[in-house]
Amino acid sequence: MEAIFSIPFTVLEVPNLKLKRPGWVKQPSAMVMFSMVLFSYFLVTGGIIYDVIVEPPSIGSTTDERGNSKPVAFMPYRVNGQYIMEGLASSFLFTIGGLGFVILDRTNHSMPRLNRILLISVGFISILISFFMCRVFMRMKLPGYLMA
Amino acid sequence: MSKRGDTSAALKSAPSENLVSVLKKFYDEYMTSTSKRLKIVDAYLVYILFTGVIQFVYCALVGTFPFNSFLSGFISTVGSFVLAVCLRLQLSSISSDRVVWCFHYRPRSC
Amino acid sequence: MADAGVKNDIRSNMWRTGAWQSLLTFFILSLAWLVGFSSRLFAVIRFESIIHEFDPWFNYRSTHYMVEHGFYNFLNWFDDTAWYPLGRIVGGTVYPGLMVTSGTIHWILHMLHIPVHIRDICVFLAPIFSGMTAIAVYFFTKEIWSAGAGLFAACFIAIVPGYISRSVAGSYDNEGIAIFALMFTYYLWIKSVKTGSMFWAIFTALSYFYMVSAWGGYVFIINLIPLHVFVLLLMGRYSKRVYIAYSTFFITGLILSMQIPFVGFQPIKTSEHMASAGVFALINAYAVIKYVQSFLTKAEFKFFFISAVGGAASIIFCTVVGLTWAGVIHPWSGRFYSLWDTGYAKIHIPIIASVSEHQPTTWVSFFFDLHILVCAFPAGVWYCVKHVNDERVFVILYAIFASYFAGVMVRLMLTLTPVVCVLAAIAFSKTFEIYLKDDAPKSSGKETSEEPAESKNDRLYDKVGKTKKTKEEKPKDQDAMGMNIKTIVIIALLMILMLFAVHCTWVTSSAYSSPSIVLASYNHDGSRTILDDFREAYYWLRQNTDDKARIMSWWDYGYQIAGMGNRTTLVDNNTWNNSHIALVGKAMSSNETAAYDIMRQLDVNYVLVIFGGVIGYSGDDINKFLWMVRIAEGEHPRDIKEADYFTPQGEFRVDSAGSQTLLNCLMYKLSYYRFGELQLDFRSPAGYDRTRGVEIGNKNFKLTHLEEAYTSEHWLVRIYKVKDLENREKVAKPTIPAQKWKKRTSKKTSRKRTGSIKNQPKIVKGKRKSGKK
Repeated sequence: MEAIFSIPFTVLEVPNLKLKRPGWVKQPSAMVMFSMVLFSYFLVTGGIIYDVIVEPPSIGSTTDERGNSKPVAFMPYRVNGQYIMEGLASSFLFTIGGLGFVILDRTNHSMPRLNRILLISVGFISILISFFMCRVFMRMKLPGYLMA
Repeated sequence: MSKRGDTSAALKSAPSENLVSVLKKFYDEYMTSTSKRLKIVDAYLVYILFTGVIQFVYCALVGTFPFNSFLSGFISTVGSFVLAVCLRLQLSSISSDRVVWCFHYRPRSC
Repeated sequence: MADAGVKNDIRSNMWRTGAWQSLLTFFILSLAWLVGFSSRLFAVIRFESIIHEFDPWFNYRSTHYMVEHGFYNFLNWFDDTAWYPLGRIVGGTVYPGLMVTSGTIHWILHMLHIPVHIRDICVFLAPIFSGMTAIAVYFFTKEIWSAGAGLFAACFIAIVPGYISRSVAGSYDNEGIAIFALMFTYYLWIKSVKTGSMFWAIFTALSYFYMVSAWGGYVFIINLIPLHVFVLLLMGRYSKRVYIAYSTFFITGLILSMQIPFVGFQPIKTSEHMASAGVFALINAYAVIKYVQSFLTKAEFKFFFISAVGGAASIIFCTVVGLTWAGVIHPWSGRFYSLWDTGYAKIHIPIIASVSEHQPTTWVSFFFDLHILVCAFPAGVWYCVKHVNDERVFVILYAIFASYFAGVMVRLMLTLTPVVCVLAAIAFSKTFEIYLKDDAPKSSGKETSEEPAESKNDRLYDKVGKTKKTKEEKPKDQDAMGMNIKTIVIIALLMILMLFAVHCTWVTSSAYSSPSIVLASYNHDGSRTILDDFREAYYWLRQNTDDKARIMSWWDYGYQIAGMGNRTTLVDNNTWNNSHIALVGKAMSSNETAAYDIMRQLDVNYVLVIFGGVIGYSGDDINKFLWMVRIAEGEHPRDIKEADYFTPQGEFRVDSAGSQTLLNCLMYKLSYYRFGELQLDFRSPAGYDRTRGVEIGNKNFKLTHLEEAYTSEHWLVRIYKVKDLENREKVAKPTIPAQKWKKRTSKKTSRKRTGSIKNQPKIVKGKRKSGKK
């Protein structure tokens, strides 16, 4: 039996190679994973899948009384339609709000006082900005928002 | 726990001898080191395994009609096997201290 | 002394934090249940206790049947009044969990002699289960993070609009109980991974069985849990708890899930379930290898391991690929395939693409349904990533996949909502924990504990005095500043949460509380007119048509006609037979004569159309007409072409510039019959369509094969009777050959009185006439 199995090896030579996993392939650190997740969250909540399928224009346009065409940022009155720019702007605000919370977490007592105050205020202001801008966007999109 | 990752020197001897000797060594150590209670559970496991294999081979040879019976029989063997393995895991963690696993057991918090 | 001792004991027991904590928890959870229940009652208060929309009518009808005829008759029910003439096997094509739940509640209440009608149980089932969902989410978050975050999550999920949209009172649909089953199963799964006990794993399998019986979205569970196990293996977090939990759950869950007739053999035959089987095989292989590793040395083991893993993985992979290629394992079904290849449904399956819930999501839907939670959600993911352990890996995976799927389809915002509530609760809880904590005593405590150590050292080196003083001054300054900023942050966050509650209530009240079977319009002075046309027409059908009459309408209204009108329908919302729907679409799109042929073939007695031109209702059949054409064109491309229904410029118009095919098709004629005579107000011409905003093009036509049976009060529902065949064939214009009336002059003169025969043949005796043989 052994003789039969050794026949191919009179012609072929077993290659002397060592397969090694390349050194640069490592399990990514937690922060890298988080930033990838945050980036994909930014894309998805901006409605990128809607953009790919429906292909709306980047900005809408209306003509006013004199015949000039004016740009329209938000597709009005429809919850299920958007322009590309408005989607990306809103998802940017969502991400800023999330990062505000993260910044608030990263402050601790071991920092110098000035840094701590600045970081807390930056985080706080970004949460406030994102929230109020989102409200303004909603008012522009649905004029009857939070009324009646 | 060693991961698949770090490969250093690979063995260069002929495959067949190594496999047989590895298996023999494994069998010897198994016979000496496991307690009698675990050996009974292991015998039960082997019996269930044979039952499952026989059912599967029968289905492959003779055909799948009636499919419901084959499914119920096969899944019950797999289920009994799995539940017995879980029992064995929990028994071996209590009794033996030779097991080199590191497991994260935490007491249940109420 | 003993009394005082006892009194002190009681007082200290009363003020023990553990007791207060559980009282607060109970109180907050019951408040969350109450708020969630009340917030869903807008439609019941404004209108009445009625089943909403389309799908719930079928669920209600099945529940009614089950309560009347018993469970086994329900499982074996063959409904011959739906999908005429095909019929529908209800027992095998429905998820019975919803009906069984309401039937059980009905049975228990009737056993206690509380006579609640089944309709009321169906209407209020979803709000009750929303409270139970809040409790399940509380337990889930408590396992993942802490009890405080759990309370936040329970309060969020009670009022968040993304969940309310599918669980208002009256929306009697699978999702109302399915989200509860989903979160409960996930809670039990986390518990079993944490403890590694088979008790919890079996409970997980039982809860999974309830989920399988409740909703088709159980595929999400059976793919997420194997993915979690797989990622744990990849991260090197294998432990025997994971093995015990997953293997017990998988095998028990498999055999339980196949008990539902609708699911049948799918768990072992379709690609959607193959991931769970693959991970089961993988974790078994991994466990065996780990066990063998304990007996061998490192070098021997490495050799054994590589050969075993390589062999096993290649065998499994080739088996699965081979079985899929050979057709034994069915590929991904269209519904789930369109989640990965998002352009697929638009081209190949127009029915899936036409449902408005299947459209991709815009940013407005995210903000509308989740408000501030959508900002706090990535912060929660950050916390979970920072302090990762086995169960937080699960939450992170759930978050990633749920947010991707929610971006693909609006309907799947519902599965994203629980995990957003959980993660946002974690973010808020951690933020409050940091900023509510009063750091001052702790730091001074640190100082006092450090002092004796330092003083010991200093006594040796004699440096006590100066360093102590300066250290005490600094922390006071810092903490005073810190508390002010902290309270500002906390107050701002509290106000944001209050605005969240306001937003949720507003959205629920304005957007998600319409029964859509009863319409309401508000006049200038604020008073309300109710448009009850749908029920009026369905009841007319119920009372004035023959019991075995067959109604043809578009598939949207099939369940409602069957539920309220109790008549046989041709196609309904189940949409399982695309060719049948295409036939109905072809009938609606062809001209009257061709449509009449199809209607005779299908044995139709009545046709029902929805027309919104009088009141400006935008969900009528003319607006849906293009989908009918597309679906019909998919099956009959030679008879129906979508381009024929557009103007040469490519517009869809119903006025005089519209295409002739459109202006003469059956749907147009049935919608606008006699509409040309109706003048709504003195400013607009007769026949002005309020929904499209134009005057219609083809007025004053007559119907030859149908006659108008009923039109509801605001012309919303129009019912036509299909006339029988004529007794004799009426030819429109008989082809009488043109006759020239010749002026006849009489050949009779005064002498010759005998008449004469015209064209008399001249016969000569003895001779034959020419030519003949």
